Amino acid sequence: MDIKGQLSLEFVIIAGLMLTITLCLAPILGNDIELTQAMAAARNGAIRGANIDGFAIYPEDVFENYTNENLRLINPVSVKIVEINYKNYGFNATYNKTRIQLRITASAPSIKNSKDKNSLGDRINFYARKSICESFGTSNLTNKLYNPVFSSRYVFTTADVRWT
Amino acid sequence: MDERGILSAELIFVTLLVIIVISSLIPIVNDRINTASQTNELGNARILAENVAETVNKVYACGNGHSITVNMPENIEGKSFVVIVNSTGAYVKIDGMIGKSFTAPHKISGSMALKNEEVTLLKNHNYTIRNVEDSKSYSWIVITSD
Repeated sequence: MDIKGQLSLEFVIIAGLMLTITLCLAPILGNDIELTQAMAAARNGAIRGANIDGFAIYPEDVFENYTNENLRLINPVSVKIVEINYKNYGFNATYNKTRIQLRITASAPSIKNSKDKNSLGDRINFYARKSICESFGTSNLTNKLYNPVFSSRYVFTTADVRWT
Repeated sequence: MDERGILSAELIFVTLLVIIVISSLIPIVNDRINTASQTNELGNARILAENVAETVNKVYACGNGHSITVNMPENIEGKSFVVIVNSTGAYVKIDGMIGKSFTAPHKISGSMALKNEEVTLLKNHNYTIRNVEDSKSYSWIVITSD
């Protein structure tokens, strides 16, 4: 019984210690986990946007617009997401959250026209922001362009896509 | 008994970690699966439109009397779709999205009456695409359901 009693005490001490450490680390870990989740969602959204660009299958109003103005984009094109970075602009008093700007680097070697690249890039950014919004369920806080988009601790914007 | 105690503490610690990791991974994995599914959907829709456009071009190139049958699938990734063919190309419409595969300019008709019109190809139907010459020796692409 003594042995069992000592064992229980050790267990309680260790469990208590772990709980204390976990509680102390929780806010820091929470920030990192949230940012990691946002970046993963952004990557996912960017890939989705790149796929729509690549397959050239668009919402009907966009298709109509491209038929008149960006005919090249009606054809399939190779679009690849190369890199997604972020820049932390620190605490933003307006939104009461930390502001993060995403910068996506993509590649579309066959597209030479800068207007076409802008259209492709805007879609990639749009879906990246949309994916973050869906990931955190904050559609009630943002506008129809998902710009800016929010999580609990962060507000996200996107810079123009950089093309390589 | 000491070993058992240590094992339990480790087990709790590891379990907590696993729960934290898994709970943060679930939305990401779910989102990834949705993206993969949508990619598959868009890819299949694009392939279908390209196949129809290629068939129209091939039938036209092969001359009067040539015909090819195309089979429309039942659905694309469980979603309904239509393919519309007109004199400029084949359009695929799926889930509020639309894509176009270009064809060389042809006169398209949905019947042997040879009226220039757009033809809608519905899911789960077979269509025969044939090259028909009219009385003035112009080639028409006639698309009829089997």
